[in-house]
Amino acid sequence: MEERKVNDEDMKEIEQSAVIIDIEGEVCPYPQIIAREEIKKIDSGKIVVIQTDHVMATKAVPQSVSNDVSEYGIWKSGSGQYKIILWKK
Amino acid sequence: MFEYNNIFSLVATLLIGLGFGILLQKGRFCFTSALRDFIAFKDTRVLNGVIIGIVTMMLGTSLVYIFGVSSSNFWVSNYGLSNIIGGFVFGIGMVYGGGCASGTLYRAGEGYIHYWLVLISACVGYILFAALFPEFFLPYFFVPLQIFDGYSLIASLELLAPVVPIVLIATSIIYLRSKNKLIINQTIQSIKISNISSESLKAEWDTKLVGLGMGILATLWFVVWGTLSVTGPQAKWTGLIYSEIVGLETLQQNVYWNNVVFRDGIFSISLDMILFVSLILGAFISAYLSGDFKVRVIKRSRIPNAVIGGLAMGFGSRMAPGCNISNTFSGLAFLSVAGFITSLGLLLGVYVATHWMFRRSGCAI
Repeated sequence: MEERKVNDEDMKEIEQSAVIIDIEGEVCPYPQIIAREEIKKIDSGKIVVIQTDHVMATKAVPQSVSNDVSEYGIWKSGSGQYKIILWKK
Repeated sequence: MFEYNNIFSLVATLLIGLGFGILLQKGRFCFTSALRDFIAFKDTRVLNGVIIGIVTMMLGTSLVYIFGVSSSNFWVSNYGLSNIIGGFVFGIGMVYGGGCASGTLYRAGEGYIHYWLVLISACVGYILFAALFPEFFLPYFFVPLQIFDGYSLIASLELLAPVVPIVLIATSIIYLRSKNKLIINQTIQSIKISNISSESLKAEWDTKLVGLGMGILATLWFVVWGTLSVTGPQAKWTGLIYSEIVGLETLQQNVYWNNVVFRDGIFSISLDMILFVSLILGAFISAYLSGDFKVRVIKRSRIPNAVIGGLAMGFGSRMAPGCNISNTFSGLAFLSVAGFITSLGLLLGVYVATHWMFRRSGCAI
């Protein structure tokens, strides 16, 4: 599982085709639990974007789905909002 | 009102507390995450940082102890089955509530209402525990279960104490080099000053470096005050605030408040209580400067997690006694029996709670 750098423009493009899941307000370990369930639901090669405000999720979520994901990216708003992009294998 | 030797120890306390807050926040240094994510996904990144921190503290405290820099005593609790039960209750609470004692504290500084509720629930747990202590916990829990005198290998080795961490460090270096897992040049390269930019400061810091920093700060704290603990000073704050509501006399009549939390019946603000507050402040400053601060409203459906998790951590940390920091960090660094068996109970609690919470998607271990 490799980290891919994403900027604001990449993010717009990614979001057009991705499955977007808003889990704002959830704290550990729910982001990891939700990410594992959502990544199982989608087809190979597809993208899941998890919108969260939980800082720890940016570290714990990619690791929780590392077996199913080829690449991941983290987008930071700078004001406590994050988008975690997961590319399914 | 304040109880400290001089202005230097007060300033040192503030700086160490700020440092702890910054390191915890930047490293996302959470014991729950270290243990839970190891069980659920075999993720060892946070766990490695915790182990480095423990060994650094072991080396640091044993060195300052033999050179007489510190007059602090090692906190070595008596032990028995009580530690396993207390640790187990605490371990369940920290997984269900979403953070350990230190994790809850730094996230309170990041602006989470959830973790403020965990903190308050733990404080309510202390008050209930103290009320039940004389009639229940003392005769039916501590007297029959906490039967052995405390023992710490580091404290009892005295002058030879630093040999243990030195052997541990040397063995792990030889082992990691033989497995080609430790490439020293690359590690030094990665922490070059020229690599430090405002962007890298704002991003997450390497957990291993944060663990090293935690061990160094815990050593400095051992020089200034003593054993690093979180729930100890938290219980003292609870006591002081509670005494404002119900009156100091009520607390003085309770043996738990009067003799266990506030030793010798001195109800005042001590340095460890100042460290507790400056840690939250350090986490706030760090989160604010990194763009991670936000007032995060708790989800209504997660209120039971915060309340029940906090209460379990409050009760568990009083029963063990001690939290993940005083046992799984300081206790293991002192090679104290109480630290080991409380950590074992805590690990069992984390194991059971993690398997229950990940029952639908499964765990790796």
